Amino acid sequence: MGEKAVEPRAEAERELNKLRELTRIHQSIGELSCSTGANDPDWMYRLSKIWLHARAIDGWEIDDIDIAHVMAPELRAAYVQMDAVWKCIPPEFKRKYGLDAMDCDYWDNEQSNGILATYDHPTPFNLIIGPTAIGDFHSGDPDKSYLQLAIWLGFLGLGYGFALAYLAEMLGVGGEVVSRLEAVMMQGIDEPVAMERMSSNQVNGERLGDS
Amino acid sequence: MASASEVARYRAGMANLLSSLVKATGEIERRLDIEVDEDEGVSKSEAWQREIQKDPVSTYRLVCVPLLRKARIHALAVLRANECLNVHSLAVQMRPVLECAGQVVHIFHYLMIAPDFQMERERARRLLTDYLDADYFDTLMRISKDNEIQKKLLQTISEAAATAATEFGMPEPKARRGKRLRQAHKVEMLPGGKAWYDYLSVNFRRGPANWTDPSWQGGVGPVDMTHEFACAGLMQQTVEQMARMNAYASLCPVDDTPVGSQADAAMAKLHEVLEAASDLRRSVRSASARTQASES
Repeated sequence: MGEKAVEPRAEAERELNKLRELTRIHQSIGELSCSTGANDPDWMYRLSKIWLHARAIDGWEIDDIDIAHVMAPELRAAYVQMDAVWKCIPPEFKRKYGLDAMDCDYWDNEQSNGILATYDHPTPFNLIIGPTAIGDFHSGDPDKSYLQLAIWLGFLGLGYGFALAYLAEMLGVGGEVVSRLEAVMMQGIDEPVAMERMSSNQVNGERLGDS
Repeated sequence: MASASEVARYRAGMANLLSSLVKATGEIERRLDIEVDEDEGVSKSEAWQREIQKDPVSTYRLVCVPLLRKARIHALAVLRANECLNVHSLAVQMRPVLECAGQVVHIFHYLMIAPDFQMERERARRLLTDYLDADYFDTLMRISKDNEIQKKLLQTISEAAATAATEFGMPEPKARRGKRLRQAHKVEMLPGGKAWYDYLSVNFRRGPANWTDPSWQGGVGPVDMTHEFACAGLMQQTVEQMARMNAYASLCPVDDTPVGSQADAAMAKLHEVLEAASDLRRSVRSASARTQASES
């Protein structure tokens, strides 16, 4: 993505659409595999939790900035699971997609100390003045919130899509599913990282994920 | 277990109660909010500042309105999660509702009830201002990680407090000992609030996942009737706490309008909702007992 101009709301919608496709693919994997669920490893159940929260997210439209408030608790719960799932994926599989050097603490940092955590813990002043002027109801700059939402959705899609690729391989479900996954992932594997970098430069030189 | 139709009735009843409470929250929110004339080019923040200068008591409206709005947004998400039978989504959306409800109850309990019935006015005021002060302090500290900016902020806060004490007779500022808000503080004023908050946190917000646990304990197994029951049970708790929040928010002073009759109506509504929720629960329980008796 580099330095090209972005329209934050359109970016958030694009990331949401990617997430929608990923939840559909996840469902297809479940239907195609012979797994009964009862004896699966822990990370697969965690992936199911991510699916449940991603389904809740993908049922909404980005038609109002209040939607960031609705999506934040779902994203936060999904990030907890994403952090655990990511740690279960072997490095050699990550290397295949060039993601072995990725900052794997992003999900945990954001859900425990980031702005995402703030959205999920409302207080009066937090809602009035808000950290870095997002997450509140008075800042009057929805673009910052839309961009932050795009980053959150993008990072969930990135980890989730990648974990689904690993799930497909583990369950021996290849072919069309893998092609669909790659089509989603190739739409911009580095976009969430690039957007986050860009937003860091925009907000007074501070990293949006810090709090 | 009760029959499928009894559980469905319990769930539908709770969804109806919650919908009506969401509507009521929106009405209170509108009553407490200030109107902004956009033609005058005045932002919402500026309009609030003017309102507070005119009448300092409107600060309580300022802190209450966003909490109501936030609770309403998440309660709508709870209803949506219920429609999709997504217990996990319902549970995580319910948590911020509890936090908002707990804070509204806290603020208006110490502002309007405690001074008359529970403790001396000064102590109640101290408990309320300590809470708001800790929130204000926390929020400001979060705005910047930069130590220099934090130092300046702290200096400004302490200078402002000292000025308020010498010039306006406000209480002498105490040395700050780094006291911070704990998340659980926010729900402590709600009956069962802390236990429910912890339950949601452990089982849904950060808990592991497994196949065999029932959905109400965070399990991800196949959808069955326990999902419906879990949705209804979680919604019942949301309904009860939202009703409490609305009742306490109705105590918020607006101009010189006496809160008496409004508060009476709000408390009556609270009892009516609690009664209706408890009737629905009783009905599903007795249906369950009848089923067990006929099976044995």
